[in-house]
Amino acid sequence: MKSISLNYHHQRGTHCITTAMMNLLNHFGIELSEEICFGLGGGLGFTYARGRDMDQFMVFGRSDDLELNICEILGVHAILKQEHNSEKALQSIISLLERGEPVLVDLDTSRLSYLSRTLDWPEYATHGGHKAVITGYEEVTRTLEVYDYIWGTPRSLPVEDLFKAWKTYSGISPASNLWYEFTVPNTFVDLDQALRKGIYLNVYRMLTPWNKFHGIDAMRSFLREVPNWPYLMNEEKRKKLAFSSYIALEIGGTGKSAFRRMFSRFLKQAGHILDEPQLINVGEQYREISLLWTELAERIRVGSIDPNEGIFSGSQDNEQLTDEIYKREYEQFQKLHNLSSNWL
Amino acid sequence: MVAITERVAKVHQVGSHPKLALVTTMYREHQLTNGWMKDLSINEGFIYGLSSGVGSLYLDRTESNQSHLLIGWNSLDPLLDLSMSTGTWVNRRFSADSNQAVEEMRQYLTQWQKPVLAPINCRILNGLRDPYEQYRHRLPFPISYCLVSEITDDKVSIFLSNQNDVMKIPLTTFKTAIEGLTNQWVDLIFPKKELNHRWSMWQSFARNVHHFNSGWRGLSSGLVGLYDFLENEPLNHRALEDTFLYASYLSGDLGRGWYAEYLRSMGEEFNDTRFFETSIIYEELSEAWTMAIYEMENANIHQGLLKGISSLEEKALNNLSDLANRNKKVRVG
Repeated sequence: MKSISLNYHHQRGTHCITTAMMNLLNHFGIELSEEICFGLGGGLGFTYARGRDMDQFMVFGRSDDLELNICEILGVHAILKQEHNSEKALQSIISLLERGEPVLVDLDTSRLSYLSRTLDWPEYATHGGHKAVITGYEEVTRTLEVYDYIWGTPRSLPVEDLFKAWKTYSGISPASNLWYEFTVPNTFVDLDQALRKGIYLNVYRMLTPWNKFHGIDAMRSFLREVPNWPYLMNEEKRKKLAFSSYIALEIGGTGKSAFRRMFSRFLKQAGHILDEPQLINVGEQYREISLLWTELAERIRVGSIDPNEGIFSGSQDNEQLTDEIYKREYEQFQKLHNLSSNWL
Repeated sequence: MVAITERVAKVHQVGSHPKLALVTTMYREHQLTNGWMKDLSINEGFIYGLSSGVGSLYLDRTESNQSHLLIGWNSLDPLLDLSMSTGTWVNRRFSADSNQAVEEMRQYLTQWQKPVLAPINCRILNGLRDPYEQYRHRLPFPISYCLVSEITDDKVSIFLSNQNDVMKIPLTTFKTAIEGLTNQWVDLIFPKKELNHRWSMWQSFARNVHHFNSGWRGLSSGLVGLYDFLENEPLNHRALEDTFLYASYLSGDLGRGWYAEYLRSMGEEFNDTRFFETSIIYEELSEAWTMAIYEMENANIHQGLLKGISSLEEKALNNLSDLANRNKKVRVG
């Protein structure tokens, strides 16, 4: 009977992906803070979109493929694997564990037994994209040892519960039995070089998104529209969207303020490492911007309880707040653009 | 969807590598349609340089009862490398079966009017001219690739790396050819505005030098991988066959000629003669590898030639490392 438990050091964090990557990279031999991981992956972003098969708009404050970007920037190769048959997929995970490799998996938060109760995601906001690290397996009890960002100790997850949260093909970004395998370089990319590349790419992706549903364009649309949702949707829909937006901006593993606080800390840390005072200055500006996002999230939360209050009250204060957020954030990104254009 | 086929047909050219050639076509189609990278000449060698660049991976395949394989680059996933260098997003698809894959591809083609890249079992496609087919099935990668440009109720239009013209194959044949590989097709999403060329080229160059110098844990890679190949005596017959195959994928010389050209482009972009000097070494390597492979194909392993290659490769890598270190603060704006 198989019984595997890897020697894996886990530190708690504020976001699932950055926490998992911080700990995995530590396992591979490079010690970085969660904020540095966020910045290396070009983590700041914005998404405001509704797909054809989605009832709800999707609102969140970070970029895509964070885990892949962090790896690429540091010279690690991450490959996304998938197997429709859950038992076969599990066997692949066990094989990796037997080789001493922790496994990053994609999961649906709302169906994960130990997390759905904690975060209380509404059913309509079901989505994959949540990341956790499997570090052990007990064949007798068919349970897995799983590290997740909120807890300091591993969760014991029955295989059947894993399958419920892993084999999902509905909602946003379904988990679809996905996992990652890593090939690690003998030496990592120099951190100075990696930080500059991460910032350069973050600026590019924020200012030049793939389409209007991402980056600065999406943020502008969201900030312009959110006080005007009463004109765009009925009360029931508004309440639902306000609630899921509040969670996505302020609660669900964002470190509050739609990841802006984490970004502020990243810039300050990067500024010290690179000896670039301008980064520290922009980091401080982002701390102030993060407070505005928290204020906005609170008004959205109030609107989710009473669809004619808070952000939906019709008060001019709301549009002043959203205008200020956009203006200040755009200014800071222009500063980062000017700064990073001189780097390599 | 007819329009996609016409656009792809305008830019598609026979290439060397089953995947890179088609990715090159995707970039050229976007260049034609959207004016992207309009000042650049996009060809397979340029895409090779941007994605991974010259290198040496010497894969141990003994677990699967296969001989080692030397491949001539540093990339474990050229699409991912390209996405970082050029700002594209690789939208990976995980269709459950061939019916779902076909339906999802059809929806994508209709909505976005862009081709998709799909792994395909080319053995299913009768009449495909592929001299290396007998070896290809032993490779540890998806068998081959095609660009899908149109799906009707009974036909699928595809482009292959080794044919200029579009192939129209029965839908049922296509479904059989992608069965088992349906969770690996992708579409590429290009950003609204292209990345600064200098940044793209430098990012690729710096990454490649890092990969070549560092190598990967658990893989015989970088210069060590190359030495492992060159010093593997006796090189067994199957290892050589697969190496010939990979050499042919990378323009017959393990990509050394392509990289010489890429370095010349960098020299022009960065106005630095040292890129040209290193480019000349890669031209020499291109000739040396071509000759060595010719000798190997004739069952001669010319030790003197291989030693010369080893020495030139080391010299070239030293030059690349020197360039990467000295140019850490190149202005790209």
